[in-house]
Amino acid sequence: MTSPQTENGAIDLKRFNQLFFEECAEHLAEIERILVSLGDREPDHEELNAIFRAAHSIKGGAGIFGFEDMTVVTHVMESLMDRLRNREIPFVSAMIDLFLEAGDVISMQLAGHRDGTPVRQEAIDQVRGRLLQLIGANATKEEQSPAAALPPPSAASAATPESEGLGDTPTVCRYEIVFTSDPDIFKRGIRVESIISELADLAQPGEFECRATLPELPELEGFDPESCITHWHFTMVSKASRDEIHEVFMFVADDDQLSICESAQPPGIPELAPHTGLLLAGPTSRETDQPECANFWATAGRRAYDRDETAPGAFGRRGGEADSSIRVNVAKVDQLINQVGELLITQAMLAQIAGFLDPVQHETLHKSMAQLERNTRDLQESVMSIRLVPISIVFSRFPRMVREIAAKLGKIVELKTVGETTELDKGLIEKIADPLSHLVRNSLDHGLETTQTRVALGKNPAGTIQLKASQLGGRIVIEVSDDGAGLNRARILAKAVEAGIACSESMSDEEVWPLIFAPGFSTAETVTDISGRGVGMDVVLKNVQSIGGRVHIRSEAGRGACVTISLPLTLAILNGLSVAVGAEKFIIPLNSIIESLQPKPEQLKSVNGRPVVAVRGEYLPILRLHELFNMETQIRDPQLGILVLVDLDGQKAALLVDALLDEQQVVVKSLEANYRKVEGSAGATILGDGRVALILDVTELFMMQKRKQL
Amino acid sequence: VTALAGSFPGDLEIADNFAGTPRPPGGNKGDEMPVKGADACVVMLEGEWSMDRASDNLEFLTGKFQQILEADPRPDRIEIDMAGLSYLGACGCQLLVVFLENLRRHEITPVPCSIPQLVMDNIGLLGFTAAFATPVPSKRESV
Repeated sequence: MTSPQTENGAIDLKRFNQLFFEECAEHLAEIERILVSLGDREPDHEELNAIFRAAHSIKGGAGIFGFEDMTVVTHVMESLMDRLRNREIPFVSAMIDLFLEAGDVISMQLAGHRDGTPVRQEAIDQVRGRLLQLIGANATKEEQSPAAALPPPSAASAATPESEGLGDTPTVCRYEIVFTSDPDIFKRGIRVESIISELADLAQPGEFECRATLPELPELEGFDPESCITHWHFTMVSKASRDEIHEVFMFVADDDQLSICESAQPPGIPELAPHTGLLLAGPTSRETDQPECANFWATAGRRAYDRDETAPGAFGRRGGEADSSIRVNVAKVDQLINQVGELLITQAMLAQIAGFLDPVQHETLHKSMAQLERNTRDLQESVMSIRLVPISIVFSRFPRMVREIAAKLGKIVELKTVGETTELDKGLIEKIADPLSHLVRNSLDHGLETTQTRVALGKNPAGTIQLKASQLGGRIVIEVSDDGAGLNRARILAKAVEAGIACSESMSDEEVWPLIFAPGFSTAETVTDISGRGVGMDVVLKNVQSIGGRVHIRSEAGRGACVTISLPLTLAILNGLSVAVGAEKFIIPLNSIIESLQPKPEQLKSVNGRPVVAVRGEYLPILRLHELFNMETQIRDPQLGILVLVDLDGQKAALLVDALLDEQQVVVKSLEANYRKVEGSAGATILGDGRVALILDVTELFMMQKRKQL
Repeated sequence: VTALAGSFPGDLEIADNFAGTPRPPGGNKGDEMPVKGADACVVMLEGEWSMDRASDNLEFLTGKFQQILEADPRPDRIEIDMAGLSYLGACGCQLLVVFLENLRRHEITPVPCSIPQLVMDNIGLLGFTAAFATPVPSKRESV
């Protein structure tokens, strides 16, 4: 394990805390996922074990990192799970809700430590009290208090009954464990005694032995008291699996710092000998007693690289059996993406310079440049894929939300999710969660009818909400649909008139539905705590637009509504077409371009005094970029320039440019961060010649054109 | 758990300058006169022995160790009075064990005594019981 030291040598504990926070959040999500998937049925043994393990890991981690308050609820929850698992108390469906509440309380405590948000102690006490009630009046002292549950260390053996039978492996095993700690373990604020205590919890009663050794005795003078030189040897008999033992050391030991040697415990084996307590490491008679652990004592006190530098764990390398994933800070990934972006710019610069050289004379150079372009493109795609995460991360929060809100509203609702493996940029995932949540709430509250109404309408009493994600071209499309009543056109128009929004009966449905995105717009008869205050849909639109997305609504009376959100795949790099307008260059995102053409005179028309181009029976408005951006150019007549036809969600237009330059990948740089917001642009990029070019936001161009015409 | 067993040669005195945990820097090192063997027979530990106090505690023990080695005559047993300890974490425990083992290396027997139950529990949990074990007194001493 590396030691993250700050510049002045102090240990940055925050980084390790962050690791715990992330792990804890994952465990909580896992608990919630399992509980919600249960509905009201009784969990099977596997599910109980999985919840138990997650709660146990949270408790262990919290203890190690000094967040003792977080062990209070997890401990009682664990006890209740254990009793359920041992059939000591019957399962009642109310337990699922209570476990969910307990998860919420732990999340609140987690947020308190991580973000400094307030923690309501009364909520913690209440949930804990209710959990204890379910355990029964005869809850033991250990079950009531995690502190009391620590085994008496004299034998370190009084493992609580709840630790019995932990894990999936019912076989009782004898384990020999050597923990060669990271020298910085003390500096990181880790309480070794908590780890040992947790390990002892896994042991059978009276079957745990801990022995600390110092591989060599340092002189007192000059000894670094903050550096851990102790090695711990544990011998225990336990039903726990290797994985469960590994989990105890999850935050504190790398593979090469923990050696676990197991052998099946023959029945009737005598209890372990009491502590021998050898202090200085060295072979003992036990060496010969443990033939199944031939190198057990040999490994004690020696790092992997001392023994065999080619070993998988040598020099801190991960072994062949190491996890297939690693946890990396997002900032590091962003830094990597940024650097690849800079590389792309450099490659574009080199390509531009090489373009001036004679291709015959410099054939090798040109071949190498082509190879460099391929390599950088591959590198860029690989790096970008690191930031992509499955949308299931967001979708997974909805089953519980739907369950609870449906119960509140007295509706029967089935939630379907499709395309959960669709991947999306991590930054987008974080920002799309709230808008989706608003949409699902709206569907639940206003979209789906009550069970009685549905029955009266001849519909299935259970309403359906579907979340669907897919990748279409360069965009991710997320649909939130329901089979409810659909949007009420008459009511929307009436409310729009009330709110002073310009509208008329003659408007098409496609024009009416976007009215609900107006700030404060709500057609709900009553305001509930779920929705209806009209602060939802405009926030949805703003949030989606802020990440380069678009929202589209379809609705059919009596059949349901569907809100489609379309998002760019990533925000960092895009494929674009560079075009020239006057002395400037612009980038048009490739995924919005249909085609480009030089119009013939007969194609150019005027509709209501506005110039349009006729293309295959369609009349597309012409947007003159030099006018929108107030620039000088020689090309003002569309016949002399090029029209780039663009399409955004069915809205088409023709952009007038002087010339098409090149198709290229561009690195998106924020204009707001480096300069200021420029209307009509989605950012900027640095071209091969070092100049800055605006990346056009076609939607904003449409809006600019509309305002100009008004 | 009181671990003190047997008696010590000479009278035991608890010198003031040995009591208390943090010592002024260098306070107990070579700048002081060697103390009498009897004075060096008790080391009193107090307060919290955790990572946060590790440097102070090391300084105290180093000074104490120096005094013991320079005592005339050099004692062959040292009483480690732990009654004043409020907490002994893994870091403090390791430091104390290094001190005890250094004494043993110089053929001085440390005798930890008056160990509070909570501290003893932690020592046991951390697997250091053997280091704090009380030596069995010889027949002559136990009379």
